[in-house]
Amino acid sequence: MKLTDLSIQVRQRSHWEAIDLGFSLVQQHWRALIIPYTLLVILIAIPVWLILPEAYLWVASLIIWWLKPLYDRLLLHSLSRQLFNQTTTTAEAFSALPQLIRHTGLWSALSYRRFSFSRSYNLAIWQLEGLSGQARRKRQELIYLQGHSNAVWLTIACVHLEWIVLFSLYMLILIFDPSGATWEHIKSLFRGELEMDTQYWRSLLDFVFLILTILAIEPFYVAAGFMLYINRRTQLEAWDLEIAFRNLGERLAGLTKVNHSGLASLLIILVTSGLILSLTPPVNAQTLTKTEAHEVLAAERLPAEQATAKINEVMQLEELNSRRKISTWIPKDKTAKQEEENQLPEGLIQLVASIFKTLLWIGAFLAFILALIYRQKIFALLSPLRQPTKRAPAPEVLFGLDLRPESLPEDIAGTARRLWEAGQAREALSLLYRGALVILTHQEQLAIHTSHTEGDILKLAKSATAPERYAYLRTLTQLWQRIAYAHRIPETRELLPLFEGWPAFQTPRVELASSEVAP
Amino acid sequence: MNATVPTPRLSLEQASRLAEQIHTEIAKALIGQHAVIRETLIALLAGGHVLIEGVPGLGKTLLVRALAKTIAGQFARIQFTPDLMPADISGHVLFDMHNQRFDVRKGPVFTHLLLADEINRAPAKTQSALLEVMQEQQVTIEGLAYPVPLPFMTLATQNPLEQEGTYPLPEAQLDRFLLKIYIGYPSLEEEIAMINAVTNQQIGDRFQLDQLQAVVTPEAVSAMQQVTAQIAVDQAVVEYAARITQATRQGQGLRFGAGPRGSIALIRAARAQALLEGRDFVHPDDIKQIALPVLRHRVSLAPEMELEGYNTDHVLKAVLEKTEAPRQ
Repeated sequence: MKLTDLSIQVRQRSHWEAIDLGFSLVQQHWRALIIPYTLLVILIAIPVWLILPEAYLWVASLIIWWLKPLYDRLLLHSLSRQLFNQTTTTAEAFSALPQLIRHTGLWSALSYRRFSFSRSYNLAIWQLEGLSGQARRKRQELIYLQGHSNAVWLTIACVHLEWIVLFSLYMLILIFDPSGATWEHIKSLFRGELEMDTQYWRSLLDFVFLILTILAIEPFYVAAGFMLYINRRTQLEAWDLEIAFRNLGERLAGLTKVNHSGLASLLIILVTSGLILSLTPPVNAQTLTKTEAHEVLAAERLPAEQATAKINEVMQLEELNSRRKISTWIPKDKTAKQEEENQLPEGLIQLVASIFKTLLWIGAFLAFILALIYRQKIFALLSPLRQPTKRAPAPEVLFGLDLRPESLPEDIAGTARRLWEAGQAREALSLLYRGALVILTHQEQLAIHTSHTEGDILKLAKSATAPERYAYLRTLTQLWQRIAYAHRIPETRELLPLFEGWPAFQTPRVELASSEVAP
Repeated sequence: MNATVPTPRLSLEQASRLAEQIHTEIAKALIGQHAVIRETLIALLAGGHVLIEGVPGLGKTLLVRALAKTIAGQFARIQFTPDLMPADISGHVLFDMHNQRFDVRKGPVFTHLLLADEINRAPAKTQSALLEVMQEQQVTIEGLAYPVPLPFMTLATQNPLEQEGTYPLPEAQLDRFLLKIYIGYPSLEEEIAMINAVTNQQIGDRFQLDQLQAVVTPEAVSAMQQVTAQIAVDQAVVEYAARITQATRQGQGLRFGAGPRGSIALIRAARAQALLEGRDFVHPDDIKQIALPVLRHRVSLAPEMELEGYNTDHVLKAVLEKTEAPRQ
């Protein structure tokens, strides 16, 4: 496989672009693809049609549909060679068929993998990479990391396209069938009432239409899946970079050759031009006009004066100077005449314009003075615009604790103290700590996440709260950690300052129902 | 400084105070690098081993020498080279012609502090010679197990720059290290203080450790390790450590995550961290603070993340940000 032989431009594409490229590939190489593919389908369809009894023609349709993975392999065989600019003849394609049947996982594709939604995407792993077992699974996992969902959607889209083509063919017959028999047949398909005398011909029609549909859509499906795969490999193996480096290497190698072979000529040119320059009088660059500078660069161009004369001379030729008088009817322009009649004197217009201009300047000056005087009010009005991003609302539930202000008792410190006195030390401290978190999240707008530990919250609070408040929170956190993680109940003398200090901790801002807090 | 004579049984306060004294003594020699000293102490208290990574000349050897001097322990250094053999580390049996018997010649691992300098310069076979002693604290020579003196600690160093001709440590070996410590450049002030300390009326550039005092004995260090092991860990904290380790296995950006030894190491290191702060219980912050040195060598970065310039610390920080902290 030589990447430089690729017939497509290799670059990072989106998955949808890659699918589009697959469709283009079929359009580009349809002649090479369609003959072996059609031949294969027909060679299978005719014996199936002949062998099966008349009443079981629908089984033939099923077989033809079921064998799609086989056609896919032949299509991919041709496509993969077309991709590297190798044309495959029909004979070559058919001679590769036994190999394709044996070594590309066809049996699994025709049995338990028949309904795979990413058949066209993973086909290249089976067929071109020749992998199987664990290696194939690993490779497939890697390839599937990206583009798999697109492959699934490609399958779904192609199934729909097949139905569209199938019904279009029915519609075509419907248009050209004056007897209405086709319409009856379509209706009977849905009603399940088939007439025995015409059933065979109608089933044959279904069979032919199915073959035509598969012939029309399957190459696009396989090519699109293949291009998705190629795009994924380009991403994984940086084919685009490799090609770029190869081209760069070739270019540089070519340059080196030219440099070596042309070194002598270059020296000769340099010496000769140096001699010529030394013999000609020096020209001051500033004395050269732009035209003259160009003339120095392009010897075949005429000087400006001569060029004008030459152009005039050319324009005198009859072919370029034929002037004709053409008469035609045009509508009368009445409005122009009226405008002429209503035209104001020029002096009056100038006067009005000057007055307006002066008024405008005076207005602008007054606006500036007023803006200067009322700048505070203007800034106040603009302040909402300066804070376009509102802070996220405080969380209601955090790490399992209900942090809604309404979930807390009105008197947090009082309730905690009662809990403490009732011997529920843990609940008392939990309530205080929860209350503190509510204040931090609602008042101080601290962004506390579930991953934040008590220490992290302290660090956040240190920069956001007043030192007294931070000191209170630190003590509360330490006691909380001790009861939570060491299961050690603090002394009453340690807790009392917390109960007493709670109102001060809570009051710096009065948004949280400060009036309801017990003194 | 008054060299206290430590008793075999220590209280938490005593152990914590001794740890602080060790820190202060080492900091006299290894100027700056407080985080490195602290993490080394955590490993010592937790009975673990450390892998120190840093460019040459930052004081890795000095750290070990200073630690050995401070704990009055034995110190041995092995310079790992490509031709180093496992027997050069563990020891071997020689036939004594004079006495007509086999004598065991114990290797340099029979010490308290073992400095395995540039461990990644020796092949995997030689590196693996350390596995048994690091895990079991014993060495098997000719079928007989010989215990190493306790406390035993391996401090291995590796240089992140010169990767040519090195043998990356196998995952099984890496997992044996409790912590992987990064040692970075000192700040300007620290470097000036270091220059003054090293060049003051002294020949050569080696830091004289004479001014350092032994503040504990190896027996006291063992007692401190016992105190560390008794520090309480709540079930919620254990679950938090396990959740972090689990998250490394599921997190994006990592080729593979840490094993259960990572969770165990988190708890061991967090206990030592709590002791250094004089606490007799572990809280989630201890786990979070020690998570990076504990886990960074137990996970492997995905190639695409490596290409994008991320390191394991970046990914581990993201994992910590996503792991729910315990709430009681």
